[in-house]
Amino acid sequence: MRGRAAILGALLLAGLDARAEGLAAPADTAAATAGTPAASPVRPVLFGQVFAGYGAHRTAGERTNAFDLNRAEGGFGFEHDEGYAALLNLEAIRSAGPQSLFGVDNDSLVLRVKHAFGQAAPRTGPVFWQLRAGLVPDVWVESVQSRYDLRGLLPLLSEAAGFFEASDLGASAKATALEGALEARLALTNGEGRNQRELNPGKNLTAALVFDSLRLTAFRQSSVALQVGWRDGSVGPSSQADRRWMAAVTGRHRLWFAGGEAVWAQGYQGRGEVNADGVSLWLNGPVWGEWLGVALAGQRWRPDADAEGAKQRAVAGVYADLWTAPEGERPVLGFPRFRISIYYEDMRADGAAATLLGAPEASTVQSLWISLTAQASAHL
Amino acid sequence: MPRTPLPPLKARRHWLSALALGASLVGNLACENPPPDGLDARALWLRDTLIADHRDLLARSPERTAGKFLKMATSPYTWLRGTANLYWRDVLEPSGALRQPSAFASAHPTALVGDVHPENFGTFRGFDDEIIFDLNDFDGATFGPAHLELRRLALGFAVLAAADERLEAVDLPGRVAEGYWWALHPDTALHPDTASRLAHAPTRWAPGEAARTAPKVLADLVRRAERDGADRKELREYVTLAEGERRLRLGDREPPADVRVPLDRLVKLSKAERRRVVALLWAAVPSWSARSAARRGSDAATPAVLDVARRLGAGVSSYALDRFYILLAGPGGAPEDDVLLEMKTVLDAPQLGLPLLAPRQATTQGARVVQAQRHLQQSPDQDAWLGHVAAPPESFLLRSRTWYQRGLDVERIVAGLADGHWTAADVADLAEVCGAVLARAHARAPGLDGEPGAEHLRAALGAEPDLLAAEVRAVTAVALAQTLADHARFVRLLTAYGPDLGYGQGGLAGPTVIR
Repeated sequence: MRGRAAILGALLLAGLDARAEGLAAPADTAAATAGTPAASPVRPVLFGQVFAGYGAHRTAGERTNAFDLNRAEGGFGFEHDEGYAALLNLEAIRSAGPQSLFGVDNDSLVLRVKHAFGQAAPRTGPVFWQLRAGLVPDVWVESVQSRYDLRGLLPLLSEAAGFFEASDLGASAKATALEGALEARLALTNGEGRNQRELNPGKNLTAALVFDSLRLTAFRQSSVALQVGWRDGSVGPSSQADRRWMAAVTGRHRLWFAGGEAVWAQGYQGRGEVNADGVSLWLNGPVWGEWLGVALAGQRWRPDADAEGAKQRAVAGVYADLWTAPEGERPVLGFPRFRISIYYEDMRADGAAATLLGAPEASTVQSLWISLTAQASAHL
Repeated sequence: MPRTPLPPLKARRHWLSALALGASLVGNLACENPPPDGLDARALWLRDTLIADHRDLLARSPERTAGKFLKMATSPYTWLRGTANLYWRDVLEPSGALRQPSAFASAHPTALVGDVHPENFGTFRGFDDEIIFDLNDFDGATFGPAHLELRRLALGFAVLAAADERLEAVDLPGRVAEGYWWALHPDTALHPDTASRLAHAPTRWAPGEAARTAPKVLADLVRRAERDGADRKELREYVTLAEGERRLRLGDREPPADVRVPLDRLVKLSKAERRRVVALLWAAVPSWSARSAARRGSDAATPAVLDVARRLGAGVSSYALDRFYILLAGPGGAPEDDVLLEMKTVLDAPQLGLPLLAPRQATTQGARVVQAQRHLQQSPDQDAWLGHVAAPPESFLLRSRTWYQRGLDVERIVAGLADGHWTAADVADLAEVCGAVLARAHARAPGLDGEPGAEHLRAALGAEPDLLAAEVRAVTAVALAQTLADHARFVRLLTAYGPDLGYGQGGLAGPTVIR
């Protein structure tokens, strides 16, 4: 298996260092790797991710099938041994919105900036800092997703239900102590997300606190992390409330991952008076060797918590890791992985959340997917 | 007096000071702006949504977009005309104000007009010189649940009824629903007392026939279309002779009550703009229907253009969009053969957010609108000059401006009631016919799955027209109250934020390029 991984890795990252390692590692990890022979303290870094697939879908008597590109990201940057870095990450998106014909040359795929930030990683006593400014990853999504192994199949509830944007203009800080067991994140951003300029004078303030048992357990291959967060913010020209309270429990044991996330929202999708909430669960891990695994995930959220009804999504499938990702965190900017998955996805809504009141068949979409997840990062 | 140097702060105090400063800064930054008095959460959502829907127009044509907002504020009916996007959000989004269940919903992705209301009905001249009463605006054409479009038409008549107390005596939403149901069940035996016999009535009339058989309001519309169309009134209104050449008449045809809101104005184009419009016209020629070539009188690939001008003031939804009038020389070259065309920008249809799986059937906005018009109208070539052209990222619709095409006019209906020309019953008859026309369009046109809506709609509507009418009546009452309240909110928003809803303030209208 390892040999096959090396071959695939060489094919994917021709010319790149096969000792690829995850980005955004804690500063102490960066310092540890800095000991490897290097001519310069500044190292170029490349990273990229592709989630592509073929899906057959069914809803309300309609059937269709299509190849799809759910994610195509590629970026580069420079990292300094002292922890300074500058990174740019581009992503491909359809130029027209869903059901829109207002795009570039019909609905061409175009590139846009997803992340672009400068980073410093100073240390003050026992605390390691990671300071970023620019178009920075959302601190909550980044924190939970770094402990989530199924991003290629299903975005986190935070993203999928529109509770959070993956990145935004602003600044963020992360403080890590107790050898990574305690982590605090804080971000001050525009609040409109990466696809919109600032529309009001208010800023979003997001805070997240993580306790990760990683370095405290005697059984070092396992960890459980408790994460809580809060966001005060506003969105739109009229500064509609856009507050969040969130919690997550994530666990991992070698290549097994399990967890759950809950989000409560005051203000949802540009309606300041609407309350919403949601919860999700997931579990995945290898069942045969290190390469054949199973995945289960479910999400349920109420777009209007004051009304009966919810939207839900369930995913079940198997995957083959042709290039087994290393144990440990799953950085949002990429890490070595080559995974093929076959999974079934069921999306439905009921009650007041139904797509079309009175026609329940319009609120169900069932899909069968074959997908490819390729992720990589490497220092040149 | 020498100053005593201050002792340096201890490091911890530095941190405390920095934290206090940071907390103060963040507290100031994160606070929400208190809304002006009298504006509730709904009003703020209206403001944000309207700005979001018009952001491109506010950036490109701020004055015209502000003019559109001012025009929308003129009356509840103009507000309704300009807010199709809001309507679809309200009926389909989970937190929408008009989310109400239906016993008659169908999940079939039926071909929809997208922006249906009474003033989007009008006349066309058919192949045999008959006059056809039909839908006439498909800029918002899309696919989705037909019963929600029926409700919007009923709402349009309810807003019309709210403009004149004489109409309180009749049930316009109910009559719309009855007309809709009966048109889908033409073989059902009609009770002799039912008012819905009009749903079976024809909507095409040979010359002079409508006066005898059409409902009164329609008979008036058809009469004026026949008269003004034959008289080439569009040429009399918009064309002048300048230095021996036929030119479009520039300036205001109708003086505006508000200088910021032109109603019917032609504006001269620069030479570059004129060349662009002519090139677009020639590029649109292949999209004209070959079957209508005889009616156009010429198959020239590059029709002779006499003049081009920008048209301001037309429509409500499309008020701020680029719109041009083009004067073509007719095949005979005589002044009476000239043809007046309109070319206008088309934007996206309302986004319904439904899980529609089938691939899109059109690749440009103009192609979408033309396809919808040909499918939804009673005949595919009611406008011989219907065409489209794409100039990415823009897309344009081309159509005739003959006065054979006359639209229903709410103000004229109200005036007709006031002077006793018509009664409330006449308007109710009109509502029923409009319901029938909409039903036939839904039934006839292929849905997103390629199947016409007829069987799906019959299955969904059930066997009791009264039940459908009762539901439509009930939901329309709620929607009417919401529409009237929203119009009042919108007027307050314009007062509080100005005619651009505050888009030009606070940096919202900042540069669109990264500097």
